[in-house]
Amino acid sequence: MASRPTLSLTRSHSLFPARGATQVTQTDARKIGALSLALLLLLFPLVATLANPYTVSVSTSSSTYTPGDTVTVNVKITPPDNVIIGWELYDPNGARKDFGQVTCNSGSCSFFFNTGSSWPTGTYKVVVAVSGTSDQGSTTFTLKAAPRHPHQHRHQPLSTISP
Amino acid sequence: MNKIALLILSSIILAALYTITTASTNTLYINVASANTLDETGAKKTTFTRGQLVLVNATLQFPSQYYAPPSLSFLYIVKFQDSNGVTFYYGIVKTSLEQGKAGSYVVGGKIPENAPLGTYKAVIYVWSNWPAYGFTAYSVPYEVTFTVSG
Repeated sequence: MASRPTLSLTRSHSLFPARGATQVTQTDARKIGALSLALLLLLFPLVATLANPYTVSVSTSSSTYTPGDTVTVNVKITPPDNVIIGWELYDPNGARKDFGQVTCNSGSCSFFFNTGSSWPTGTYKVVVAVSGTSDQGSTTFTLKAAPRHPHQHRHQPLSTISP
Repeated sequence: MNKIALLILSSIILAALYTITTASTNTLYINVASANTLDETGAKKTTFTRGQLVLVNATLQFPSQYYAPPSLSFLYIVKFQDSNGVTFYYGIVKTSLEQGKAGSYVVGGKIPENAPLGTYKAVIYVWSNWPAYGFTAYSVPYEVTFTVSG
């Protein structure tokens, strides 16, 4: 854009426009164009880094667990990068139950935690955040009491039942 | 030519900014030099019984780095896990360190009366804040183990 007025100015003000002068101007224009492109290429990742660069996708290996189970959490960072993540687990009452730190290589990682046998049942939330950014993602799972197996019920033996 | 010089200078500044920005998301400024468990009097101890207090003492170092801030404010967090790997307690200290300095920090927790016996783990984290509020990790997690016997 900036090179056009320069070229027309050279032509209109020169009675005998020298070929060399026009070539130099075009070379400068190409240089400016190339440098502008390089600048844009440099600017893009910087802006991308400063403004919410990562999308954090979080999922658990199952949607329902029973108290005492191990929960595995899978994390995907886009665009893929080597990042440190921090995670937190909140119980149905909003109390922090567990947390940790993991390194994700090439945007992918997983971690696990053990639920306590006396933890309250209900919906739990896992929050995952990328270190040094405000980027985070979350998922939920349900902690349900283990169903009582019919054979666990105490039955009175038939022989002891009086008619 | 001034425009070209300006463009080159801008590119260099942007490249430097990008490098610093990228480095700051993954740079772990603080080292956990050492950590151990203590009893309630401050004496080193690795075997405890139910109901006793366990103190986790760690020495943190903030080595001089030209790209790091002169001082870091952080949370020293200790998470306690029982022999089943279940987190049952955590404690924090909010503090700060200057470049080139080291500091010792202690967090204590009581072993529950109904706690399972076996090998317990205390994990140390150095974070700017909790992840849900937007955080930066300042160190690699550091683990110490202790035994709870009957």
